[in-house]
Amino acid sequence: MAGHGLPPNAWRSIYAVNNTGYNNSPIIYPSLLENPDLQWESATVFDIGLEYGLLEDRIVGEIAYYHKKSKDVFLSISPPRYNGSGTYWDHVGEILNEGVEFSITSRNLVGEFQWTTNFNVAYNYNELVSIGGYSEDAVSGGTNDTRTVIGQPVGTNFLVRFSHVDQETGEPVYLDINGEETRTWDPKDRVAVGKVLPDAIGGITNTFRYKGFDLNFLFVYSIGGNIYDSSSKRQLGVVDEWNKTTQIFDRWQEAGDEATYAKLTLDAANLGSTTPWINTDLWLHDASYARLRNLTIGYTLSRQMVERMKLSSCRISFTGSNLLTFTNYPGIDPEIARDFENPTDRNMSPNISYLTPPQEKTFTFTINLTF
Amino acid sequence: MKTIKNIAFFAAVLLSITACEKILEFEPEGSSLEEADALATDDDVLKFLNGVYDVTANFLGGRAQGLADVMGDDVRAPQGNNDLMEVYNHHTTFFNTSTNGFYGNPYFGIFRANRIIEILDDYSFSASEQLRIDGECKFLRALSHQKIMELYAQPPGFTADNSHLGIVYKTNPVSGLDGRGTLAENLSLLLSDINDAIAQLPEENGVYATKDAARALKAKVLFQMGDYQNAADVVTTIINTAKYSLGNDLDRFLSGANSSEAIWSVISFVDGPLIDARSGVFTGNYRFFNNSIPLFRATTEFYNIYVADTADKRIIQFFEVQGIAPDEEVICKKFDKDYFNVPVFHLTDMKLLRAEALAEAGGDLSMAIQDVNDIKERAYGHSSNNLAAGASASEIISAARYERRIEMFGEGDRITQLKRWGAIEKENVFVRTDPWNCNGMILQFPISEKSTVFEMNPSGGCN
Repeated sequence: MAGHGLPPNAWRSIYAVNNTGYNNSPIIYPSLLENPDLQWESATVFDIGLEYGLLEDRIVGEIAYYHKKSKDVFLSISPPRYNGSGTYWDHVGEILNEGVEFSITSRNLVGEFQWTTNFNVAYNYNELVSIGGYSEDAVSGGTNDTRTVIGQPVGTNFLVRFSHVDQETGEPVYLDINGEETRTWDPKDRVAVGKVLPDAIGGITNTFRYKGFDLNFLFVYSIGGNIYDSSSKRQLGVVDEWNKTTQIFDRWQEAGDEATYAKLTLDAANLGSTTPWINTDLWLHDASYARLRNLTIGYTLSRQMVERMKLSSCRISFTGSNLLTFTNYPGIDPEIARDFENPTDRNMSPNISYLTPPQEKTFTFTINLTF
Repeated sequence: MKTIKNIAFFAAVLLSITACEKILEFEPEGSSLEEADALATDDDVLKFLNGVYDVTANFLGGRAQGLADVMGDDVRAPQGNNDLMEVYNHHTTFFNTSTNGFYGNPYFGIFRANRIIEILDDYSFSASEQLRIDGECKFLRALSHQKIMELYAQPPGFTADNSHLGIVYKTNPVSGLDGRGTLAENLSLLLSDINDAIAQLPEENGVYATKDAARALKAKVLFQMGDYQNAADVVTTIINTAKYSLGNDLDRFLSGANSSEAIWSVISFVDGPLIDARSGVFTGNYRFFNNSIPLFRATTEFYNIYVADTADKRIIQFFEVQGIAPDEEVICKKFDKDYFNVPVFHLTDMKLLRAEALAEAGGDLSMAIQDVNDIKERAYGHSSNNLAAGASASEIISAARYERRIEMFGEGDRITQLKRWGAIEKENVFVRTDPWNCNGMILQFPISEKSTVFEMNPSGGCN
């Protein structure tokens, strides 16, 4: 329950008192409408795994599959406001979680020169099967760019589609809900777009040892997902008090320009919108990446050498983190986590970046002496 | 198989875990109460009723009026506020935080009123007390719905039989998916509530609703519907009580007291460190403070209509120009106070309403002329600018409209008048550049309302 942020007494009708409510007289008012039907969620879970060892354990690994179908999932619902209540908890969702994980560790070379490789890959998927008749916008949480859409992962991007920039006028051209071109950005034209979940994530570690030397490096990767760079709508959209990114150089400036971004303007109406903060799939990017997460080079002095130095052991090493990243993602960092405090908000924004600080690059030099 | 040294297989199936419901139960902590405890006594019900007034005061303390005025032509574009610029541009979307925030408030009050009506029989109120409480709930329910109708539905007369979509008019506290009624259905329920309120409310009720408050609401609804003679008759009933007077003070937004012309007001309460300023939205929107231009300023089109008439005390008392040309702004000083009571219904409105209604209905023109002249004499301090005794109906209408626009500046009235002129009087009315009946002249509902049975307002604004 804590994971959902479900408060105690969510099923009861709760009233509150304010002793100076109106005209300096007390008021009693409902703070939460009752939902007497609330009960625990239920789930059907199926897990299967296979651990294996081959060639006298030169190769070991595991294959696992899981399938979890949750019913009556607690969701914070925004019911129609004419009912006279704010958000309340209802368990209307049905969610499927499914995934496959595979790992293999291979001792490629043994003996004086040793080489070990560990590789793992995982495919994790979730899908909203049902939302009990509520609309995509009924579930609270996250920002205006993700929603709960039946047949899509929780927190899928729900956006107006951007088509292109008109070469003659510099105006953006959007697609309406039927896929027809339109000059008007209207949230009624939002559809589920992009992939909030990658096709695969994993890592590969190689470890080499030769005499006192060792070398270890870990690459992590993510393939096939999208990131919604939510801050782009201000960094590349209507001109305001925010700084622009250098991508704005690729904007329309005169008739005939073939540009990624529309003309500069202070007025959202020139971009076909009533709001300057225009969410479209123009800000949705390929988030595939491979990153050198860790690289360690070390040398362990031989017993003879440390004994001469009156030591019991000595190791010198250098470690670098996040040294290299290979990606086509144009933002700061393809490895993101939305910084909401509320778990529901985080669940609803799995692939959203909004000025998210990048992973830091670190260098560590270590001398480890044991007396 | 020799090389396969270790195989582990595991599978687990968990089916339908349903824990003991008792675990979901916790005793409410702090000041939170379950309904059985919260509404245990008659006094608790009265506090619950006070809570309906509380939420009504929240949206009538400038929020409803502000949205209406930004939609109209008296207030300049509230640059810098994206939500209100959508309202100003007659193109709101269902993500508009300001309009969505407003929309929910009246329905909070409506739910509370409906719940009180539902449970009232369970308490030991006398028959007369029960009638009064029921009447207050119906009055507040009617007023709340009426404010939503004004902003979210096209006005009476938009279609000949008012068969166009209205709003959800809730008469019970049951949650569920509801569809919008037609405006004709809305108006029928609205007038039914108001008539019940008039029958059941007392003549005097402290700061709470009275017969005259319900009558004033009825007069305004009938006026908007073009039922002019009946509207005028209701006003006459109010005026004949002789409880209200225009006085000499142009200012009816008083701190710590109700104006003599106030029929029913939202109360701001301030006592030492206790500050409950329900007028705060008015102050925040209009106040010129520390040389900072406020969000809401009057249009020059409005100002230029009145500024040449230097004998009119209203233009001097309530408006001034700040800034240096070409960046001059017309500041409204009507709400330049820390707190004040907000007269939701007042005699000025009623007199101007009756004057115009009588002129439109071919009624008692001498009474209409006197009503207009009462307002004029207060504004000028003398009778030199009065309408002539034989003024025609059209002259009366023109004069009443002229007086109404400056008298009720900032009170959310102007846009409803423009719509009435278009819908009932069939005048070719434009609100700035947009026709009175274009799609964007009503606000878009929050997306939370959308369902298979609830049709949203057309999108796309007035384009």
